[in-house]
Amino acid sequence: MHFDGILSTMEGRHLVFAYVAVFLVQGGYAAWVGWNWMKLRRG
Amino acid sequence: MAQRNISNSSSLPQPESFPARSVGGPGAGALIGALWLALSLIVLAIGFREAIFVAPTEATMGNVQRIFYYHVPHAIWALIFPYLNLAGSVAFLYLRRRNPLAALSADAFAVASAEVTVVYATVGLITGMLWGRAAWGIWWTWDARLTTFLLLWLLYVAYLMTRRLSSTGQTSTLGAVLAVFAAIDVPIVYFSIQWWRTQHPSPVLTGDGELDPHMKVAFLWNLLAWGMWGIFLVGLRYGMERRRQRAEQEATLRSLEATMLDVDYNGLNQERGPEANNAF
Repeated sequence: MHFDGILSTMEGRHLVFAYVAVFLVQGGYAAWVGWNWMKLRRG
Repeated sequence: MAQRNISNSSSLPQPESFPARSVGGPGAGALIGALWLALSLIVLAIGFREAIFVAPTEATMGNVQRIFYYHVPHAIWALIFPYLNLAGSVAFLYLRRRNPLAALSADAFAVASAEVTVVYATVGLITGMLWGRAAWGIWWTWDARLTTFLLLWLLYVAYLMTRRLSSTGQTSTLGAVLAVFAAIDVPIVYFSIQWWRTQHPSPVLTGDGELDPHMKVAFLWNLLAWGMWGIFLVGLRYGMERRRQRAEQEATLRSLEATMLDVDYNGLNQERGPEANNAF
C-alpha cells in the first residue's frame, strides 16, 4: 500500500479516519478503566 | 473511661468472599493480565501489518476496503460479548438470593462484558459508516442489518444507563432482566441479512463469496487480535468492578459499625442518667 497523497482522496481519508477512530475508542476506554483502577487503588 | 475509636477498621467483620487482602498488590491475576496484554498487543501489531502492508488492494473498492479488517472483527465480537453479559446476568439472577456474595461477582462480570459490547458495537458502527460513505455514497441507510445492529448498541447503552440510576441491588436485578431481553437481538442481527433484503454484504466466512487467501489471513489475524484485546478489557473492567464492590462493602461495614457504636453510646448514657454526660 502506498501512502503518497492518501489524504487527498475520500477513500484514503476514510481509511485513516476508521483506523484512528478504532484506536481512539479502544485506547480511550482502556485508559478510562485504567484511570478508575488507579483511583480505587489510591482510595 | 475507655474510649473507642470508630475509625479503626481492624475490628470490622470480613465476609467470607471479601477477604481482607491488600488491594492492588501484584498477584497471579495481575501477572496473567500483563502477559495477556503483551500477547494481545503483539497480535494486534501483526494484524495491523497484515491489514495495511501485506493484504492486496481490492480491485473494485481500492484501499478503503482495508476498513473491513477492523470493521468485521469488531462487529463479530460485538455479537459474542453480549452472551458473556447474558451468562453473568443469568448467574446473578440465580444467585442473588441463594448466594449474594457470589452474585456480586456475576454482576461485575455482566457489567464488564456489557461495556465491552458497547465499545465494540460503537467501533462497528463508526467504521461501517466510514466504509458506507466511500463505498455506497451514503453514511447510513435504514437497512435491516444496520438497524438491528444500532438497536443492539442502544439496548446495551440502555442497560448501562439503567445500572447508573442507583447502586442498590434492585437496579442490578432490573439490569440483569434487561440484559436477557437485549441478548435476543443478537441472533436477529446475525440472521437479518438472510431474513430480509439488505444492502449489507453477505457473511465473510459463511457467505457465498470466496475471500482471497491473503485477505483471509489478514482478517483472521485481526479477528484473533481484537478478540484477545476484548477479553483483556473484560478482565480489566471486571477487576475494577470487584475493587469498587469491595470498597463499597468496606464503607458500608464501617458505617454500620459507627451506627452500632453510636446506638451503644447513647443507650449507655440513657441507662446512666443525665450525670453520665457531665463525665465528658
